Amino acid sequence: MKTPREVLFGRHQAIGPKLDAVRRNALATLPPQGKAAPTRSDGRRGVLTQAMLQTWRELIWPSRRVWAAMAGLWLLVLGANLEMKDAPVFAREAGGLSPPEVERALAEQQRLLTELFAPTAPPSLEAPIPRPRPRSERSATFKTA
Amino acid sequence: MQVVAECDSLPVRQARAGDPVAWDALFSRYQLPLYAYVFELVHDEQTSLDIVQEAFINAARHIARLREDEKFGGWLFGIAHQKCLQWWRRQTREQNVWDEVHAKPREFELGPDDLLIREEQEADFMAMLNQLPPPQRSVLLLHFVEDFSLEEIAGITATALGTVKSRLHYAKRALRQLLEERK
Repeated sequence: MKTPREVLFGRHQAIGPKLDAVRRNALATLPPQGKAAPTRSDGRRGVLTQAMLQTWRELIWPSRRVWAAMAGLWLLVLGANLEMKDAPVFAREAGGLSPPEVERALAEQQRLLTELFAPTAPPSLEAPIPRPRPRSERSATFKTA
Repeated sequence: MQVVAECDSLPVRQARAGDPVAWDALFSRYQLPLYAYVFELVHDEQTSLDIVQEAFINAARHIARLREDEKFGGWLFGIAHQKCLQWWRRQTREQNVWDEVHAKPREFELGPDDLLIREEQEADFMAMLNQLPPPQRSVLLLHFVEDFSLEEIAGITATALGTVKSRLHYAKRALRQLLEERK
């Protein structure tokens, strides 16, 4: 007769070597004894390394497959982007406008813009329409009179 | 209680100081119980090994958060339990696997070693254990594997004490019924 604990442990005895490896891996991540608090000189680098390690362990490693898939996807997007970026160069080389033609077209466009924004009539020389003064100023004038 | 007695001699204080020998002793003490617990919840060897390793690493990193040294075991199982929950949620994409109707809590009569299993019943015992809903299985495993108290199990699983009592009661009753049927 066995207790449930003995039955459970009996079922998993064979995993011992793998668990020993897991234990060794976990021990390897321990900070060296007496170096738990970083000194001021190497503090910044230590903190940075610690933060990177922590990010790796908590953010990247648990979802490594998802991150790998995302990286693959981004590489695909980057590849497609580069492919599309190259296309206009080929088109221009194949039979687009030559540089003198481009220059002429630009000069024409510049001329049109100048005409469009140039003043059509001289500015009016008439005096501006007088506007009533603020009420406060009027009362002040009255008092002084 | 056996576990409490063992905890007295566990080198948690030295582990807090970063002593690798102390950590090795702690990991050696808990590696098999923790693996058995995790495996019976997730049923995947590699996932279980990953969870045990992550639990060890997290324990070493966050040992400062442990308030009482004698509660190291429960604290470590709590870390592993949370990892199991995260795994379950990723697998099922829903949380309600761990939700259940809260039945009226009752006291349970048997201790973890009061239930004795004959050799020919072992397979039935394991099959029946795996048929239990995960919340009941979790509570029963914590009770069997480490003989945690109801309060400790409530802390590990982050559930109310009444819920733990209820789960343990129904899980043990189901287990007993099955074993009696097979006699």
